[in-house]
Amino acid sequence: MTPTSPDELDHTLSDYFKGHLPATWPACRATAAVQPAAPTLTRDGLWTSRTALAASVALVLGLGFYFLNDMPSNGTRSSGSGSLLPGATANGAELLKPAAKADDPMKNFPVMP
Amino acid sequence: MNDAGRQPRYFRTVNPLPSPDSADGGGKKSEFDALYQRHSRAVWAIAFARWLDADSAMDIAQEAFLRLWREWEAGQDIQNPRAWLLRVARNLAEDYAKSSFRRNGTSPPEQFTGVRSLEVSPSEQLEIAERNAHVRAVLEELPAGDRDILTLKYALDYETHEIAEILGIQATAVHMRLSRARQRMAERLGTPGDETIP
Repeated sequence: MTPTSPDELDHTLSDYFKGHLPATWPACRATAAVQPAAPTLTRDGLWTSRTALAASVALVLGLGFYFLNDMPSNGTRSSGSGSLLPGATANGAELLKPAAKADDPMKNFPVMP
Repeated sequence: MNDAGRQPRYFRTVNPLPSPDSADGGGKKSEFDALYQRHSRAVWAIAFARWLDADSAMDIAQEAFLRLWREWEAGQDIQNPRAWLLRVARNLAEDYAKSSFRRNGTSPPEQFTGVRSLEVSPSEQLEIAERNAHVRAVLEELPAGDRDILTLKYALDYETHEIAEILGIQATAVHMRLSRARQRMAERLGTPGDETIP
């Protein structure tokens, strides 16, 4: 079929070119694999996180000082006698007897002239 | 009259893009997608006009946008993305021809004249294929610049001033070349002639 009028020519050309135009236009391949960027911290968000960090450090230090001051010192633990167990009399002297002196294993051997 | 309105006109409602430097990564991607929606059909049309092959034209258009994306990623400042894309698409079309011909040699026109349609009978398909082959043969005799104009007009329904803006030429030049191309098409396709441009 050949066009016989200007309108038919327009139809022929339009059919030809539109027939080659993709029915569904594809997405851009260049950005198809690009993930959206991770959200960046705003100035307010940065300030909030730093404040929370400072508060956490202050809390840890405060609790540390509190428990350190609340524990008894070395001076209050002893009774003044230098013993860990007040009233104890054992000194451990009887537990450690001196070892018996062993005989000389060479005393029965004859002495060579 | 042509079939204006049969195809949706995708480019008319997109606002001009802001500078890419002002956007973060996600904004940059959305800007680029908007750029793609706005110009990809014109880039496809320029590539199609060179070789009258839709799939190759799409590959060329996608490659042109991929190169633009890389330029953006590298921080290059491209003042006129559309002109840049059209120039790259033309160069890619030339390179494609060289590489394709080097690999496969020239192909008969019948190989490229099929129109995607599953609802026509075999006899209608044959008729369409013959008509497309005829149209294609005549189009191939036209200068590449005239095929640019015909593709933009009949594939995308662009008006004369829009074609002039895309191609960077005067509207009167578009009018003259379109009239000449239509006259030649009419003569070769069997139409008595056409002196009036709608």
